[in-house]
Amino acid sequence: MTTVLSHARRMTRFLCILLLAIQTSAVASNFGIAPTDLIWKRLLFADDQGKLSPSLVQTDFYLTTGTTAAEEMRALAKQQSPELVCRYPARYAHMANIGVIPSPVDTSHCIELHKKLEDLLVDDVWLVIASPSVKSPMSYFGHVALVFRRQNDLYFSRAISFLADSDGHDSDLSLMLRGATGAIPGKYTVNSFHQLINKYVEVDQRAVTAYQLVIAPEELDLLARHLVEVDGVLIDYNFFTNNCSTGIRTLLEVALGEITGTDLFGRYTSPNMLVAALQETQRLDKVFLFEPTEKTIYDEYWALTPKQRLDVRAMLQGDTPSKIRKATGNEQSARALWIVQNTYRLQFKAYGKPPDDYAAVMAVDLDWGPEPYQKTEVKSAPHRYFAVGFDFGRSNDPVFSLSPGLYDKQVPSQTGKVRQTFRYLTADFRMLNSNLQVDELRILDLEFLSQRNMFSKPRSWQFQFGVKRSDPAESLGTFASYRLGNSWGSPNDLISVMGGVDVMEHYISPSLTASYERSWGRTSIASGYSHYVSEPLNERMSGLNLRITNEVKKDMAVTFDFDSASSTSILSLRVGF
Amino acid sequence: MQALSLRIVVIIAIGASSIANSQMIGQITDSDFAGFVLKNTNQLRYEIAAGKGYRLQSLLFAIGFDYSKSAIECLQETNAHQSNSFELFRALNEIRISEQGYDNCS
Repeated sequence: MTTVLSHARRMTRFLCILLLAIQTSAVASNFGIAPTDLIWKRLLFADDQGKLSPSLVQTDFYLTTGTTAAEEMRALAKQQSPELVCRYPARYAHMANIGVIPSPVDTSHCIELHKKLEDLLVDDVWLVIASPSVKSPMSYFGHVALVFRRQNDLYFSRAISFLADSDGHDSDLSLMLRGATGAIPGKYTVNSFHQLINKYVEVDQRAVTAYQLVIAPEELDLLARHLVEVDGVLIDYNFFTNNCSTGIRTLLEVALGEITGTDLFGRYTSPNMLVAALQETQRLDKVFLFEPTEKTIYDEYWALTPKQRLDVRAMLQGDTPSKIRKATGNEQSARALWIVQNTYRLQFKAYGKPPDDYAAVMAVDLDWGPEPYQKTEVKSAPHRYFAVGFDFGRSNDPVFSLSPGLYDKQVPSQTGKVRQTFRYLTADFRMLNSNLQVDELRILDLEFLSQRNMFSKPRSWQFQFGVKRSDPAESLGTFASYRLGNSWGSPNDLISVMGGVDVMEHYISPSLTASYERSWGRTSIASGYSHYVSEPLNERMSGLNLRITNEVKKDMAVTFDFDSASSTSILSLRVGF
Repeated sequence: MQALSLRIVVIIAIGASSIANSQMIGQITDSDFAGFVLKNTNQLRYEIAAGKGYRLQSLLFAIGFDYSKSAIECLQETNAHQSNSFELFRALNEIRISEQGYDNCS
């Protein structure tokens, strides 16, 4: 009996030693694995090789002053003090998830941590995209944020963005230069959702799209804990390699694992890319659109009957109190009054002082009814296209066009019909004498056409820069053009008159252009007239152009282009993809 | 003195409209609340009067009220007595900081 007991004791001891050895080996192995553990690297802002961020090493963001993610893991596993588990809640949670530490750490004593987590552990997380704007170079690519939406409290829900840490006194130029060269720190900032909406929808007049993120509770828990860790931490910011989208992508990779895909230049992350990648992996569900206030006003205005539109005009032009009394009779009139009140708000903002009868107009209460801003978005058409056609005006040359659409955006904004266009690297090719040659490459093509009307008086402008041939037989030369002017019209019309300068390789020429666009269902016509000085002939020249487009079906259109200056008549088929 | 400090909060709220001004996680600051009320006054008034809406929900949350009929009636009464956005903010802020429930409704 004694022998059996002794044998059993020896066996138990052996098994314990064996288990301990296996566990030690697993932990050691995990330290070894750390360089390939993407989530661990993202938690520490380490690079792909697992090297810690040099700018953070001297701060208390890391426990050690070491240089690798594996060293940090080893140190954290050894020192599990009550203070450290409150300071690094996400790191300990992840180490427990991957088995580096045997069980989840107890954080019940971390009062501040749990107070903050209450705001973040919600039922609904939104990926929010503010549309690009050509108003400022800082806004060309749009903006992205995460909103932790509480079901019973949308407007004070927390919105997290990664932004350059500016004190608000930097000019756009200074921010651009410092951001482009990485000479500015960035940090995760926290705002209420109403501030985000006010900034983009009300002030900047940019559409905000909110995508509901598909995220499991344990993924959200890790993300929320990580956000507490990064609260107030300064991280390198760079427009290209570590911008607002990269910052949100890094956060999301902590929760969701690797998000594959990049835009231009390999490491560039843009809001569009992030949305596309998450849609690809079915991580995005419902979509909500918050339209710019002026766009909403405009839509509401054109939804009224002609008589009601006259009422709105009368209200805006005078005798307001009596018109308001007349207008409050039914729901449609209430909408008219809503338009007037919100137009007054915009006028107050724009002119810096209220209209004379501001108080009288604003004092009128009405039951608006449904929430005016929130609408479900229909998936937008692709911005990339390829076109193939023939130039009948010259010698039946086959012609091609390609727009990679990387940042090609036409977004509704401002009052009226508005076209905000961002096109990069759009190219026109021609098959000439069996050789494929580039006719024109527009490296940058920006356009902001916004109708002037009773609500607002915006300017319209265009800027193009690239290389082109003045004649298919000539060589390529650089060019740039800038135009400034006004546009008017209605939802189906757009009239623009703009003056500007064309800069070609050897000369600068003033120019004047007038254009008119109209659409009927699937068909649209755009015509224009340009007047400019031609060099080397040094003559005053005029040119007429005409474009007729018929949308055959979604993402496919037949287009006829005529341009008298270059003697081209092109019939082409354009396919979006 | 209280009016002065409220005006300072209002000025901060208007100045703090830039998205770059960050808050901490886990708090609704005075300027955040002021910004919400002042910049959404029209819509808030509509929603309080109608007794429904996302802004009304958030307002109830911020002042510590449940979404109940009595809470909405309290806000409707408060709204009816204020003639401009600043007065509305001041009245709502008093409810928010007093923690006396519906006693401050007027």
